[in-house]
Amino acid sequence: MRRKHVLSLLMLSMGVALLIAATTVGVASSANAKVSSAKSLKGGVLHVAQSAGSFDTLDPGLAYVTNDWEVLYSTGLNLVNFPNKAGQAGSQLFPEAAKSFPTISKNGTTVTFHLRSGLKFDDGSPVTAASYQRAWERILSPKMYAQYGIFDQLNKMVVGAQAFTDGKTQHISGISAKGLTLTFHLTKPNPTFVSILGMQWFNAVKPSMKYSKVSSGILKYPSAGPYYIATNQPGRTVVLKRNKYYHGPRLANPNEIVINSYPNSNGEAALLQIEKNQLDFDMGGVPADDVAKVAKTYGGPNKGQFHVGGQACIIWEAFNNAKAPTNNVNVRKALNYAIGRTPIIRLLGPYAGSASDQILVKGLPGYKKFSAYGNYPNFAKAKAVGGSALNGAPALNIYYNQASTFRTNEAQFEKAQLAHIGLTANLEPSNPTDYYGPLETKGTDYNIAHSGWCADYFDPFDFINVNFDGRSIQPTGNVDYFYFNNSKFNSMMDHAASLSGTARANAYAALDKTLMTKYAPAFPLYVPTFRYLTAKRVKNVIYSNYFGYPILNAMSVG
Amino acid sequence: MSVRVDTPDAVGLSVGDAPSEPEAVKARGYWELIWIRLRRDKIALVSFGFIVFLFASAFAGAPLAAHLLGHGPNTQFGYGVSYPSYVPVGPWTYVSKAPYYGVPHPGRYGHTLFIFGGADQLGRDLFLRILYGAQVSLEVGIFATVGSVTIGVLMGLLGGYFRGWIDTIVSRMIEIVMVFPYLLFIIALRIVAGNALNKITLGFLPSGVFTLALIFTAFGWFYPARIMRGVVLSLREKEFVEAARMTGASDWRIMRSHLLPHLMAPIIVYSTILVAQNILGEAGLSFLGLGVGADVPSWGNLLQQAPSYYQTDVWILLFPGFAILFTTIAFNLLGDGLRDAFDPRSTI
Amino acid sequence: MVQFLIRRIFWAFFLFFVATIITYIIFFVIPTDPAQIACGVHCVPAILKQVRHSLHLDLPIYQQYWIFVWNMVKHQSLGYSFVNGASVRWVIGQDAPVTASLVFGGAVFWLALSIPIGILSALRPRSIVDRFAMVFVLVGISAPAVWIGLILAYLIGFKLGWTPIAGYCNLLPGGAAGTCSGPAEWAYHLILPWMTFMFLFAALYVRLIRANVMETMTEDYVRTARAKGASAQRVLFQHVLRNSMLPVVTILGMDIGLALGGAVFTETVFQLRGLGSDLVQSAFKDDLPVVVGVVVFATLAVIVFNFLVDVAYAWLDPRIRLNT
Repeated sequence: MRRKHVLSLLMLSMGVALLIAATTVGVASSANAKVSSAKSLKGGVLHVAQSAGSFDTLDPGLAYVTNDWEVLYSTGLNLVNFPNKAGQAGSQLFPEAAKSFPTISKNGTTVTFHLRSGLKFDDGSPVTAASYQRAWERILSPKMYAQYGIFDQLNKMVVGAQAFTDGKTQHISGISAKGLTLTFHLTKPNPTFVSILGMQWFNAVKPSMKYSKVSSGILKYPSAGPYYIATNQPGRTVVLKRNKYYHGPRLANPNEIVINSYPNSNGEAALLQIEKNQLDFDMGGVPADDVAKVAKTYGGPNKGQFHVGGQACIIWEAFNNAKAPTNNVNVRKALNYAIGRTPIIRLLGPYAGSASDQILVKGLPGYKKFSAYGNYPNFAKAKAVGGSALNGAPALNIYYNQASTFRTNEAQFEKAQLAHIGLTANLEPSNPTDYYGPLETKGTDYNIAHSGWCADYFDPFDFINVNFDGRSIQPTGNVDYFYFNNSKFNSMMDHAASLSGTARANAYAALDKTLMTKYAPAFPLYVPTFRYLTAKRVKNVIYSNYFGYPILNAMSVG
Repeated sequence: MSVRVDTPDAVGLSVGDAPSEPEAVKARGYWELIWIRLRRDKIALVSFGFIVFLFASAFAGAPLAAHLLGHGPNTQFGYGVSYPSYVPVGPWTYVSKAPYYGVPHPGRYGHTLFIFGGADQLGRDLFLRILYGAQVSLEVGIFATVGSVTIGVLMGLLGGYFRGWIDTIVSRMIEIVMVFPYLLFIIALRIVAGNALNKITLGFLPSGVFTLALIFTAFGWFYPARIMRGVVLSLREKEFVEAARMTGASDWRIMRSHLLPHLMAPIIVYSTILVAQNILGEAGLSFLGLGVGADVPSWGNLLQQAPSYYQTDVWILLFPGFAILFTTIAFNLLGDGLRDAFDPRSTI
Repeated sequence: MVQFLIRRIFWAFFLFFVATIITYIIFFVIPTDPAQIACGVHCVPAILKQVRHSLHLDLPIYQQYWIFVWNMVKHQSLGYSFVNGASVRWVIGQDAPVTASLVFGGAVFWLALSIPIGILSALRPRSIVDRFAMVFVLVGISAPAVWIGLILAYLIGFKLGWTPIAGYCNLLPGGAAGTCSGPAEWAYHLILPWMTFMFLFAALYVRLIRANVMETMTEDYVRTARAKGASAQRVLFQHVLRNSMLPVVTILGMDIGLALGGAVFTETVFQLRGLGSDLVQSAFKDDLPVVVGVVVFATLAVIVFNFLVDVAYAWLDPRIRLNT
């Protein structure tokens, strides 16, 4: 998933066959099931601000940005879900709506879930297998506003999904829902299928939930998680109220969660309010320029009210591999040497993240740290690698978000770095909302664009195959906005995806390294963090690496 | 923000303030008189001196300073920002020329001096950026003023001289633009159409200057048009126009040779004040991120950084702000001085 | 008077329609493709077609405009945001109170300052007060709005810590939970924005009032009143102020458009979510319906205010309605 904030790593045990993966995670779950929120933590209204942002949508069939998912996690009920636990334990999926992890046929293509009985939406109606069938149809339907499911190649995973996406059938033939039994027929064995179901797209929805043709989707709808959306004023206020029918293991501490969005604010006002205990938490985090001061006041990160949490994301500068001069691999490598990662991170203030020059992030199977280009600018090396490709190269177009101080500074910094190796650049301000729109249109004229990727689920497929498979390139809506298409690399990716266990991990580790050292389709920059302050009265702050936020329903103001 | 300039005494030239017996007095004498009056006005002279100084600093001083200091306005120094405080260095600081912060032995790369103002958030010389920023402000100010006054004078001449349906169209247009919340419109238009226009540089302008000049022209012509129309309306009834018409002079010739010279006083006074308004306009739009290109040093762009940094580095707020303030004050005072000089009621 | 009213009403309607035509054409015709913008991040051709149809972009431009006007008149609807689907009318309803608080509160501030200073400096030309007022005027008209706001935020909000440097609270108590509200908090948060307005506009008004008062003092009826032996106070309040304040009322009405423009900067600096800052944000996001909605609404506000001022002025001063 994409940008804004970040998703972090779930440790899906390295190299497990589907069944084994299921069992391991299953163990984690049975322990969680007994945890219930202590009475003393319950009650009160949690006041949340969201500075410098707002929710694109809270419709699970459309949401694809981390802040949307943060809310959906508190309202949704998934077959498998993340527990309210800190650290690694928090990224181990457990069967929530499902009685247990699914049974899988010998050939690995039939996956069967049995749902718990008595699960209910906040309107009192039962959650059945059809609720999840509908969730799949909503993420893949051509009648929906956007088809993010295709990004993650869901249409290729389940039998009949492609025909459904093409509008040829009314339902996905490979998903059958009978009462509380849900069966998926997969096109081929898929070691990551269960973890995919942990995405917030697969919140239980009423089988009658309509398709939505507007970008904000359906504003209010019955949900089956610990909370439901009681108020949803787009761009302003969201109020979550406790779902009295939810009896699962996840916490539901505050009576109510009120989230006010302030897209026009840089977070200064919210910060002052948190310090005065008038506000509990800001989803926009601490403004970059205040981090140093705040860290000092509260005794450093994670010592009290000031927190720094990791995220399962890689922020990169995308290169357009289809446009000169970044269509030349030597130029791309030279840029990887010349720009420098640490100086850019510095622009974000202290504790902003750690430099990285690889695509995979820590916690993913196959992640093996390497440093191919270094974190500081190296102009001599850049010139040597770039060689004649740098001479007389056309000016590069740097896309940036003009509404962001950081992005504007970053773009100017990059332009200056490029000048050191004899390249010129144009700064091209871009639309912050439809930032990806122009990038994803084939023939786009950008050369360098700030973007990134966060884990949808914890498998390297989600980072490498999803982003760098050139065969997926279409006229518009390209997830491969690098326009990187290498037939040799494509077949290597196919091979890696078919493997499981250690072989899969090793194959992806090799792919990660090959991609960056041989092709350098992008300029990986850093793995970001979320820096935030909580009010004095807030207890039970459980940070989720996966969502990149503290869990709202777990925070206690009671 | 732009400020209303049509209050009666802002321009202060009521109809007929122009020389009343121009045929009797030689043109040279008229200008001489104005010069004598202006020379007595110390404040106006100081302002004029400041403006001359500003032009010199912007177009000659800036490159010279960059040459002497050995770095340009866009050169970024890693050591221009100190860590771990993340605060840009202050005035009169020697900064290592090392390519990035954290390089081993930064001293061996030599040092460069940041004289006034210190650095900005990217380790660039704030003083040099302010000097170069004057170029942008003056360019936008002058071009937009020339544009809007030219159109305004033309419209005012046409409407005031021909009257009838031409005047109806001109004055209705003026009235429509005047009820328009044009500043909101400028902002919206700047974003919708600006990025395409920014590519037009005419070979020497920084990115965005042309766009701003065009937009300020498009929305700035109606005040001068209104003033000029009023002056022309009264002048066209004067005897000398009647006389010219009787000698068979064409309309065009009457407008050019007989009316236009009488408009010089309001044109000059109004233009001077308008330059100040346009400089403020550039600063305002650039502050919103809608002005000139992000890396072009301009006073508005510099001010844009201020909200993020003024709590730690107040220079970023003060320097560009005072640069704008002094410049607009100088233009406003010169405008006042010129108005007094042109005004025959102020006796020698 | 009736004839005058009818004429002004017609003119107001005409202005409004011309303004909407200009706005509509510029914003919906100039950009490459509003459907592409509306279609959003993952636009596939099939959906693009649907969006184009639902926005009526497949119709000729005059029909599009007609639908736009019809929706505005019949349903008081200005369309829906491309970005989050919110009704533009609702967005304006949310933002307008903030901008109104800012502009009208600001007007009270700048009048409260400029009327006494303007009068004092007119009564005592070249006195200390007058000279001080002239410097104030000069700085007020010469300084950038954002800079004044930032300087105030720095000095009063940050250095002295007397006021908040950002944020808005609802005037009426008991707004949405988690937001501050109540008249005290409202005013407390708006002090700096109001002061910014005061600086910018007071300058113009001091100059205007000073000039008007000075001119009125030389009028015959003032001399007559004085000659009759009326006290200085009586002359000032009964004759001079009454007549010299009349133009101020007109200018105040005309300044609403200018103030709305100034609100953009003040709202941005103090992070208030009003019409101005939402216009900037929406324009950044190519959210055309909101941009057009705010511009149209602001135009309407300016026209209505000008109309009211015209009528009030005509009522106060009969010469106007006879001449126009």
